Amino acid sequence: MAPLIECTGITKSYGGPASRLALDNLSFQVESGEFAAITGPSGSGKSTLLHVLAGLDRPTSGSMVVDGHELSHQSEADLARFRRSRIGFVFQFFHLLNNLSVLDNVLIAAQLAGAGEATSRAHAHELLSELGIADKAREYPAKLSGGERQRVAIARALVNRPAVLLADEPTGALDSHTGGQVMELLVGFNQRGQTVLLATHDMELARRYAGRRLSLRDGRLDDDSRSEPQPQGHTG
Amino acid sequence: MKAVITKALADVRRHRLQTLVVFVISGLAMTVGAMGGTLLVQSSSPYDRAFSDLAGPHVVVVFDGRKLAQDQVAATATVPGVTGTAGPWVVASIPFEKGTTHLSVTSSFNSQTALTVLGRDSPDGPLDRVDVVRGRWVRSPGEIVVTRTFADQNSLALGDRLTALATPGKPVLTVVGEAVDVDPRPDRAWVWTDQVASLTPVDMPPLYQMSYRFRSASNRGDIRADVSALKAAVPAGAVTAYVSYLDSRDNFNFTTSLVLTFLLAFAAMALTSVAVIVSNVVTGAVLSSYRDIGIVKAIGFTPRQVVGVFVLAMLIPALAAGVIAVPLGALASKPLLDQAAAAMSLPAPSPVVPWIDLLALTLGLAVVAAAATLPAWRAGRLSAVAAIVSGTAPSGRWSASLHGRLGWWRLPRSLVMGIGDAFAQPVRGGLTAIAILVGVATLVFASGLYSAIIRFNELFGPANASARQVTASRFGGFSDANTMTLLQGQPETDAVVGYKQVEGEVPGQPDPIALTVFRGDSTRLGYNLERGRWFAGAGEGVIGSVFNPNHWVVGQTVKVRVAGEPLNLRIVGSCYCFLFLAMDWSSYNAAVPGVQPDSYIVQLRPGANADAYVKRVSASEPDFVFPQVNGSNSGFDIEGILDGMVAALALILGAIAGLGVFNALLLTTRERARDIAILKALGMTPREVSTMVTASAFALGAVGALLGVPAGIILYNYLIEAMARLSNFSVSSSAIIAAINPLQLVVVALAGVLVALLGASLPARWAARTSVVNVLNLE
Repeated sequence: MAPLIECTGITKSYGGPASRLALDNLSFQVESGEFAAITGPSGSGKSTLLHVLAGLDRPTSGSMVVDGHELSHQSEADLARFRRSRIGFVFQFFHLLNNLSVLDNVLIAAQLAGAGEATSRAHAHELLSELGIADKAREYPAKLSGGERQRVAIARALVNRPAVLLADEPTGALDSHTGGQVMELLVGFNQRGQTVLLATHDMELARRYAGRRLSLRDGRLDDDSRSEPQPQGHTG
Repeated sequence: MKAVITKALADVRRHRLQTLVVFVISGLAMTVGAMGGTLLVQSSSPYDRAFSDLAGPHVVVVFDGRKLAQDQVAATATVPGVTGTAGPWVVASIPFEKGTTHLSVTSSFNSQTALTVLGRDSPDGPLDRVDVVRGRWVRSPGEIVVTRTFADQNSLALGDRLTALATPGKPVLTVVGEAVDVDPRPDRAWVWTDQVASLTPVDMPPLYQMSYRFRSASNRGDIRADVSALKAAVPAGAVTAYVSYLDSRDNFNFTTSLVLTFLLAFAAMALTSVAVIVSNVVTGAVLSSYRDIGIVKAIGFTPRQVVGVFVLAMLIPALAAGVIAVPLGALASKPLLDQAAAAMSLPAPSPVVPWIDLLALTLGLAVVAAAATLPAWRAGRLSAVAAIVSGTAPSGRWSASLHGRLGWWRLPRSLVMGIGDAFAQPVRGGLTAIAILVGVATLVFASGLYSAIIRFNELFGPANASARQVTASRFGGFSDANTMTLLQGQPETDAVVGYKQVEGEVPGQPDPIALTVFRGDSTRLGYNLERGRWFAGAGEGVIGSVFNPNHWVVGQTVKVRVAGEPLNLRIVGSCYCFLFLAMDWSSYNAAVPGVQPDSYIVQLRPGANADAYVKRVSASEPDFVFPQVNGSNSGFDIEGILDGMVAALALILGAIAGLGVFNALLLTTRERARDIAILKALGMTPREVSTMVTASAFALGAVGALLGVPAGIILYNYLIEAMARLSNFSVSSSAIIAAINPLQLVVVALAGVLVALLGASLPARWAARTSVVNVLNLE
């Protein structure tokens, strides 16, 4: 069976006189159902890799196939269509739309993907219940705590049943307790078959929750290791 | 203060695009304002100014030379009440031709084939001076000075040679100058005094013209008393005609009042638009500068200084624009001033009026400052801590109920969100919609005015527009019978109706009225009836709908005296025409037998070539019969004056409205950059983002256009009424107002939406190109 994600020689450089290499000839594969953590210090290229995988940014060179889609040469519109149907993205700072209610924040992703109203609404409510924020469905993001906002972001990322959930430092803006709760939720979804790619600078967190760790340093793949997750209580 | 200026200048530099928008819109509005102000001052009373500059007379009187000699006319200078005179000058009514073309001139309500030629050796004098605007005054026989309008209408140039007709010698005169004076009638010319005798047609009595100023002449009652005193001093019947300055002024104001009402409405709308857009700009600037506001307050800016920063940031580009725009506006008014003055043969006033320019600049800046102060006040009242902490203003909420009504799943999501965006900030959206509303209302008003003018010309034109009419006058003793034979002998002639203008006195009324007497089947002339029917024979009359000084009504029997003989006429109808009272020849002949018409209206067969007809008739009797093609009965030529102005002003207001939308959407797009990036991260395509922004503009444009159409109709109705009042028309304005075309309204409303979409095109493109990574990484 073909891997869910297959990157070959991905390079990303930022132009200008002082050209900087953010990703340097990265090659790896991720199988469906994996929980992989991309780790590394600040500036190692974790977020850039996630952006490239989500089609939010383009690699300078290399080939990249996600869920059977070759992304390197697609148009902006095609990338957007791919993103809304196959990718769920959880940002460090949640990035909710403040002028939409919690429920609408979740539903909007389904609407963009052209999903049916009744199904989407039911699924959104289901996700909010699962994430423990069903009672907040009519609230606006400004009234929610950080942890609640990140749960909304996760619900939004999952509403279209994406092939892969990309989470960029999802606990970075949360206290350790709340961060732990969020990670438990991600693990829970992974155990039900959801492929998760987590970017984090926290090696401990990666070891605790992810079965595979891709370690980046200066844009290069420094290490690719696998081990059983070792949950030891909550941490951020 | 220095800190305020430093911060304001920094804001101007940082928000270059907004500064440019304020610069352009305030510049456009001040251009219109300066133009309107200049026209208001310089053309609201051009007659009064010309009257003052050229020492205009209160009354110009024409005396019958058979009843008194020139020195007797001159002696009227000593009549009690007379304070100044000019003349007397010998006068003759003479038709001219240039080459083989008969010359004619059209003024407000009629067309003339003969010029009133005065023998005058100098344009100067203490009273009734003439201003030579091109060439020079006459120095000897063989030269002629014509009015500027006459020269323009007949394409005459200095050096052209004109042949006087209907005279035995047919002298040829060279045009040496063009002139204007306070008499707005263009059918006049001046020659060397000794020349007049050789020009006078054989059947024409000698006439003298003299100009007077009186001690009391402020109203028509005074004028009547003054003329009565003159009449008492000369033999009975010696005064054949007189024109007062009040008549001339009314005649002039008819046109200018219409133009001015129109222009001032435009200027007011342009300033309203600017106020709305500046408010919008400052509202946006306040909303997007929360963090800045917090910081400057934290370092010690008082609330008033914070307000000052925002107001100054608007005033700087507005002032820069005003310095350029105000002189431009003044200059732009010059063609209109020239045109308005030329239309009445008055001297063109200067477009430079320093106090008006200063006023336009001050008013423009005051509007900008006031419009900026209101939203800036909000910035002044912000808590420093709250502003710094929140960083941005709380964004509006997309209305869930609105989404529900639009139907989440039937309309594309980007459309629904765009429409929701339009109303998420009610103040912002409202101000933008108002800018569109003002633009659309102005266009509705302008197109309505055009419709009204067209309707007016239809009503006052001949009922059968396909059949042309020719008017012919006979001169030099050419008989009525010969003229009729000539005209009826042409193959294109369908009918010939003779007519004559005579003066009638209304018992109990001080002013005489003009009676038009028709011989022949005058029903064929095609006057449009407002009420009743056309007269059918003796004892019946028809009144005009415009000039009805005695307030006669259909069904009433009126008494008039013609040449001293009483006439009773029953008014059987009123027509859309400029006649006072029209009657059949049989009515007139019963009172004054043995008189023949001196003019003839020829109704041509449908499809006949009127120009060829005129040419042939002219060639048959070149010296004695002067035919010309009729335009319309109305002679209402304001379209020409308004044409360029409407186009320019509509363009300016359209540009202002478009920039208003552009600015509002630019601000919204910038404020929503984060939301747009999130939506793109969730999978919104660039085209959908663009659609969202465009839908927002569409919604605002549609609201503005839908409200602008009724607003424009209300404004149009009100201003047409005002114009009718100003021009002393008794014609029912409802007859004209009814003419507005629904298709035009649809087109104008669509134009409003189109302007909004054009304004949105650039922000939509920018939004579509938003880089998700850049925007969200900056968070």
